[in-house]
Amino acid sequence: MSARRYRPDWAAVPVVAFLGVFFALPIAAALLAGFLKYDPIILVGREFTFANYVRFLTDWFYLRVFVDTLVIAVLVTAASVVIAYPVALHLHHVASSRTRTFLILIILLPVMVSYVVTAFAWVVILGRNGFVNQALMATGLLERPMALLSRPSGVVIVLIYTFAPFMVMNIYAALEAIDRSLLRAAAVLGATPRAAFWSVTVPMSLPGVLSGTLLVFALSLGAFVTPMIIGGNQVKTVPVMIYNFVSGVFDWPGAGAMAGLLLVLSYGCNYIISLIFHRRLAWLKNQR
Amino acid sequence: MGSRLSIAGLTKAFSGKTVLDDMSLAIGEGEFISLLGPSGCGKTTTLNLVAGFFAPDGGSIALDGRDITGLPTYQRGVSMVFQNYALFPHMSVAQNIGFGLRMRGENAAAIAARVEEMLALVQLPGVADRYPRQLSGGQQQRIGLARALAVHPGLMLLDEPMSNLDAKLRREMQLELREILAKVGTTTLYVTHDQEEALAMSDRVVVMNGGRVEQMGTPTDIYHAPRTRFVAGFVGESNFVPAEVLGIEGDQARVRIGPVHQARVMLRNARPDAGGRLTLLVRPEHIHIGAPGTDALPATIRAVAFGGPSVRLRAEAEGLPALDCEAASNWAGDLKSGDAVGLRIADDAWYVMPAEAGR
Repeated sequence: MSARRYRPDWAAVPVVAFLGVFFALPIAAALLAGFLKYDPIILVGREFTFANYVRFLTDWFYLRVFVDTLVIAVLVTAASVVIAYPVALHLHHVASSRTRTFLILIILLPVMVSYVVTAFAWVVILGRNGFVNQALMATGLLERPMALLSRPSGVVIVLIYTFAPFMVMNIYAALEAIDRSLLRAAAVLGATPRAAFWSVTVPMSLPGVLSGTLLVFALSLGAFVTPMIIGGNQVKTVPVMIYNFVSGVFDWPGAGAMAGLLLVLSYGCNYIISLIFHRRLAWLKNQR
Repeated sequence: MGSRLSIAGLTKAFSGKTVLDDMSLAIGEGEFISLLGPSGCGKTTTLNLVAGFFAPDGGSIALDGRDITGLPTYQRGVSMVFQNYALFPHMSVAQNIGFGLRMRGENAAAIAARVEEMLALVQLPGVADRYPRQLSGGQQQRIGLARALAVHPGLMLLDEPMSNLDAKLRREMQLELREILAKVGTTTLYVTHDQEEALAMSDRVVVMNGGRVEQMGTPTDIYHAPRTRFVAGFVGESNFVPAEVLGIEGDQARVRIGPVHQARVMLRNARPDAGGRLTLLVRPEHIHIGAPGTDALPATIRAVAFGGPSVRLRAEAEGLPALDCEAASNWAGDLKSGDAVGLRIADDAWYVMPAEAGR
């Protein structure tokens, strides 16, 4: 097999140029600011320093924010997998294409409505007199209303609601890509539907679970609107903190350093997630 | 009964369209049966019904005398080789072959031994740890066969397993598949649209058309004594020639073919129609092309197609439809379009087509 020679695709040039100017440059500028000294007058000084990083990595207050953000992202991602898989499976099994299109539209509804709108809707639902508390008290599970707003639990719930559709669509796409004759082959060889599900469907849908996990995890780490509105400045996540640094205390180098740390955390976690899946997806490599 | 698989009155329709109509078939122990027909003839539907991928609208399927019509696929004990091989891409070759045994709860050592045995049987030792996609089409085909055979199936189903292989490999695999299945002694139901393949491999061939069985018989029967025009036309190449009956003597008829040529043909079960006419079949290889003469049907060559060992010619004789002929290329290769030739056809080369009900 001859090695494929790299051929530039000129159609990609405008996109690369656009991304270079409007994506890479601003990020580079923000990251660069993280290595410059804070100046109360011009905000970003000229002097090179690691002080911003040292400050965040040695202060337990800031480390706590990173740990909380990470825990929220892990919980949201894990819950999304558990919630999304059966939904994707059902979508995959729906025979009528009209019903399927209808279901997909419903699933994507939260994505189509602005995050701000859905977040405020949840404020109503999760509030002291909101639907959740009313329902729990009506069934006698709760005596007094429980605080969900301004708590990590509320943020996690709403983030799951916001990002689970991405997980559903990724897993659904992977399920649709499975050749149905594989399930027939499994059945012929004596696999019960349950055994075929665990030995064929699940392992073959893992690429979708992986892409969905990477996506939802990155979205959760970087989520700003939901923690801001649901958390009401009581739940501190890294993006909320960056926002406070930028427009609250005007410490732009601090914001830049925090963005740099978030980036490292995000890539680091993506790498770890990929490692976890790596062995189970070895079959996707070594293709002829 | 001695038959391993018996199918009785199997019927199936998809969204109101009948794809299988009153199909019946019995396969004996160790027999190799082909279902042959064009796409949409019901052959694959039959196979899928035997495998239990969906339920028939009517009829029954029995394996070793046990009615399996209502049984789910995984309890049927049939095995299958798929057109696209359907190897599990996320499992190694060894895991693929061992899958059926794992589902049966056999222990690891027994599975490993059986995998080795199967790999040796299909002559692919040393690929156990590869993934299917690292193998060529022909190798995947063999692994599919090994996986299906590993479970000691009571019945092997093969769904056009050769259709994705190139012509040369297909011919090799035909012989090899036959040899492997004979060695194992498996009863086989084989689906194909390739008549050459069906004739080459099968003990018996079932020719299907429009959801119905046209004819069931040995390859020789199917080729030399086709019961319907469809069978004659689908299996091998054929020339249909109208003939006028001059007289009947016992089971033989004296017929006139074209304006002057006469022949004496065996009637077997056929009878002339009300107008005293018969339809005769003659295969291309039974028409001998030579120099014109009083003993030959005068004809003109219209087209020549060189094919290596043999050459195919289309000849036109007065009052007859165009005749496709085949001749050894070492001498007939020089013939050109427009040449005048004489066609000689032995009396026993004419086959009288039986009358067909409703046609």
